[in-house]
Amino acid sequence: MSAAQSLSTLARFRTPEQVRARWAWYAGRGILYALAALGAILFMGPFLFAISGSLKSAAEMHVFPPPLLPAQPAFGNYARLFDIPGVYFAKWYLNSIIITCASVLGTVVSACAAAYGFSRFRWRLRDFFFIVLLSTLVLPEEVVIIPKFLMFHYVPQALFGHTWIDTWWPLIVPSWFGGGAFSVFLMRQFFLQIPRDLDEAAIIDGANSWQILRHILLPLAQPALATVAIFSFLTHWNDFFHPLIYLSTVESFPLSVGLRWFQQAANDPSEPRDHLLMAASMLMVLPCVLIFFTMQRYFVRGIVMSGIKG
Amino acid sequence: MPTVTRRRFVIGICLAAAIPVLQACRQAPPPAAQPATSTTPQATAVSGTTGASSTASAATAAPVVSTGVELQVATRGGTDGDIMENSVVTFLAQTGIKFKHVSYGPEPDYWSKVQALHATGQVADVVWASTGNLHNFANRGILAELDSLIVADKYDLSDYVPAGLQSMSLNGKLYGMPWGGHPGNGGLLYNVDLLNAAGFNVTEDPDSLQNWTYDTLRDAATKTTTTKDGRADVFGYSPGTDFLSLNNVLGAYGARFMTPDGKNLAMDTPEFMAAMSWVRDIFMSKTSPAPGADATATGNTNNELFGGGRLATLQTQYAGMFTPGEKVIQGKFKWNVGLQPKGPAGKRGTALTINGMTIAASSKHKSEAWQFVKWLMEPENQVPIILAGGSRPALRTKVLNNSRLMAELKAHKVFAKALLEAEPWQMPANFRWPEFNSTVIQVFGGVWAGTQTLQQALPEAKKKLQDVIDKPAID
Amino acid sequence: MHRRGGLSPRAREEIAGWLWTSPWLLGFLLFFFGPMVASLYLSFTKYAIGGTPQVIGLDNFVRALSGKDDLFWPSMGRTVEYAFVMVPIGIGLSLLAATLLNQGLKGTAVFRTLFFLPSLTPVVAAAVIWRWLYQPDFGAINWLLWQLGVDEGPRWLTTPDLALPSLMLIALWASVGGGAMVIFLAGLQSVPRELHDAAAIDGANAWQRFRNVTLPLITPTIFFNLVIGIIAALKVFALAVLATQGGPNYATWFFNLHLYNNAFQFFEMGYASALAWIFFLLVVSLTLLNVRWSRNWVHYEGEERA
Repeated sequence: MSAAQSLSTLARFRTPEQVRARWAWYAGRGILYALAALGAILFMGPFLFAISGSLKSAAEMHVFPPPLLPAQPAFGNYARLFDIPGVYFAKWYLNSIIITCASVLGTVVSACAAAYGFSRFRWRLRDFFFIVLLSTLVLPEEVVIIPKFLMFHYVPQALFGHTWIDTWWPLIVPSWFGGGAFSVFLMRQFFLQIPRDLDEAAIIDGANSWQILRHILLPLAQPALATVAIFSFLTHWNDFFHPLIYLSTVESFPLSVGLRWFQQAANDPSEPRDHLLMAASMLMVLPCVLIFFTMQRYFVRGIVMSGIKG
Repeated sequence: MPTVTRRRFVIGICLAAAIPVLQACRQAPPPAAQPATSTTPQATAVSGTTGASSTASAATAAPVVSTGVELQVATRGGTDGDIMENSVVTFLAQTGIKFKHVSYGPEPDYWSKVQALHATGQVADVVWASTGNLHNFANRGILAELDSLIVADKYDLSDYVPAGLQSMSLNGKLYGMPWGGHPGNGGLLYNVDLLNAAGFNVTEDPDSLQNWTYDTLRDAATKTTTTKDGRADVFGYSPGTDFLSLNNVLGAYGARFMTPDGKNLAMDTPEFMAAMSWVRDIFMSKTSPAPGADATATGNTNNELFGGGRLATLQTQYAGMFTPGEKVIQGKFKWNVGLQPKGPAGKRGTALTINGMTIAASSKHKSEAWQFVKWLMEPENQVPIILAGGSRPALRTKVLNNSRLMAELKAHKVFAKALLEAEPWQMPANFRWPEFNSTVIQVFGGVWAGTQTLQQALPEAKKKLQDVIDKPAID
Repeated sequence: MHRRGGLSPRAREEIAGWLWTSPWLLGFLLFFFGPMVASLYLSFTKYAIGGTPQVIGLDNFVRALSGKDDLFWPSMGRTVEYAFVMVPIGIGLSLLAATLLNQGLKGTAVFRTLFFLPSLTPVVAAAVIWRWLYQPDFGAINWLLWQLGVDEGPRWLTTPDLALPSLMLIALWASVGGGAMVIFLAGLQSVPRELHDAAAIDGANAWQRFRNVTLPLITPTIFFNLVIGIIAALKVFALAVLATQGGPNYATWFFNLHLYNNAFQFFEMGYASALAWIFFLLVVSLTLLNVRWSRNWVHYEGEERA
């Protein structure tokens, strides 16, 4: 017999313990798969119901037992959303996109600048302000919202002659001034991990700080930039609190407040709405899912690299 | 995924930066709503009046037309906004006074906005204000009193419903004109076919319900509820759980939440207990869909159920809103809107709720503003809007007894009578009606859910409601 | 090297550092520090927008803490109850999910995505969807119960005792598979394989390995998630506004909702500012307590990271 054949012959003679261990291992794996599947069902279940609801007719939404699948998928529901008088769905969608993109841009730009300042330079009070930065993570927005509301009302009034309340400025402007502690923190951690040799080489060549940032750090920081952009996108797309406080003209709502308005106070009280609300929710989730799918690998890598875990 | 090169990054920045800048230019103007772009039936209805007989009021008024002055009228937007957009156009054509409609957004943000703008002297000249907050604002000097304008114009108030004017007054001074009113949540939507099948003889004429009592309604609710597999298939009746809805039931039983002066609660009476128990029984007997927040993702389940023929009766507001509307029902069954039934006290618990038109105290063009408000109150300008389902009638007999409304609006005649007989608006003495309303909705939550009896919930409820009444007036 | 303007490289570095950080600094002053000082001032006044602030000393704080505002302590209690039930459960489940995903199952990437999706959902959309799921007459949850033989499913969001747990479930759904889980994953993956192998050779089974090897090494991660998680949970607001409006019978009347109502519905901005500051002090104290307590159980490998 060849070596291989004798080995396989030997393999057939397993001890009972080995067989039992094998089965235990399979069973264990099976349980794990079952758990994972259960988790997947629990997490995705509500979405599935929502999708099925979004394709039902109004009457089917109020039937018991609720049919799992609509008799005839009403794709028209999605189109109908854009057509309801008093519900400016398309406008809300566009508003969300504009506000979010402007905020994301501001966050990325100013977080980079601040992180650069915190990581690559020594200056007095740097560490003090870094602690301050971290402590703003702890700050509940509610503490400052009233004065911010008043500030956004009275200051532009004095400076420009009209209030900023009920405009998008209060939503966009703050992200251009640092973009939030989390983003700065993430970028700073990332910058810290880029070796200084490259910087020093550039300085010898006569580069100033802007050039170092632009030519050396930023190209290397793309994963972190992507991560900051994703986090920022999700934060601003989902923001409900701030537009709620600052905006009151219905056409200027982003999707978050618009959807709530559609839910509670829409123009035409007779329009059956439950199925449309499901469709609207799905449309609202869609960009988040798309962004996540395309940027997935940056996302996890970014968190790992920030060193948050330890 | 394409690589994010430096160049694409920069181009992206420029493009993305351009958009908010462009958008900002559009957003920059002071809080003015983008004009409503949807064409609605109201448009054709109101423009029909332009050619109609010239309004007597416009002729008799000697409009003080300031050249080039543009005044502002503020509403909540939505249907009210659409109406106003068309009204200002017609008004300009008839009088030459230019108004611009601005939307301050839906409630409750509407109220914050009015206050914020008042603080900076920029609030509109004519301001929509419902009884919910009108007195609060009047008390704080945000609204102008109208008596001097009325006297100077020699305007005749004789055909106005006294309760309507009283509801718009504070300390004897009038602060708003009762532009649209309804008798609290005093309407009863009913499905003729379902009721007939259950043995109740009703027709599409709301007079056929005129003699119903709350016992009849209870009976009808029970008999029209059908079950399938142990679950309700068709529901009988859905009561409201907010102040206006409950107040209607209370009034019919001869009870109220508070004393007429609004300083104390009046919840200890047996009539109060009887009325609230009636509502509780409805929820407990499962003839009603779930109350309040559960009602659906929208809070609109009741309308949707009724429109689908699965709810026999429903407490609602003024008929002119025609919820859920013929366009949903599309002739599948016969229906109409009547009044809520009479109680053991032999009367209906109607109490006025009024949408008023007021003039801001800071307005620099009060006489022009008054011309507009006056114009809005004229029957010729009211009737087409009401017929198109856009509004409720003004509290004046000329409008309430208008022959066109009587003829063309299925349920108007019973509502006109109800409005003429309704008690005036009721609220706490410190004008904190919205707070009182939201407290009412909260404190009886356990009662409707069945986890508490009325007796159990009452002490805590009374304490919380009395706290609201005891607070000082907002100033 | 050039010498521009006679500045030393050291001075240039100092200036550059300040310059680059200036947008953030400016933002901090304008949007954090300034407003915080302003809100502290306002908390000592009586102020309804449209009027002028009148200083009334400590009245707002007295009103809140003494129970004169009879929703203060209940809403505080509700919020703390919510946070202290939800966060441990949430972290435990997140850890469980992360461990599950760390087992090298086939399709882990797919599972990870599916787990993560709910956390991407805007809270508005989640509230709308879940309100419909909870609908007692037509919703999916009571339908499932009906399949299992329960004829009359409870009225989830309008029964005072059930409303809070129902909201917690929504919040758990939206957070268990989210950022916390990913952070745990990163932490788990950084546990060196050799330690596991060594323990396995010594005869430790899976549970023992987890308890004695993995767990101590991920305590920093647990700590981080705990701090962030408690702060986030205490701030709960949107869910209550969207799903239950604070009811029924104040069952979900959270502290931030109370604050919002006082500021923007009842127009008492001075009082609301006082509430905000009390809340801030609570959050800071809890965080400090957390940090202090963490010394007992958090085990850092090597030097403490910033």
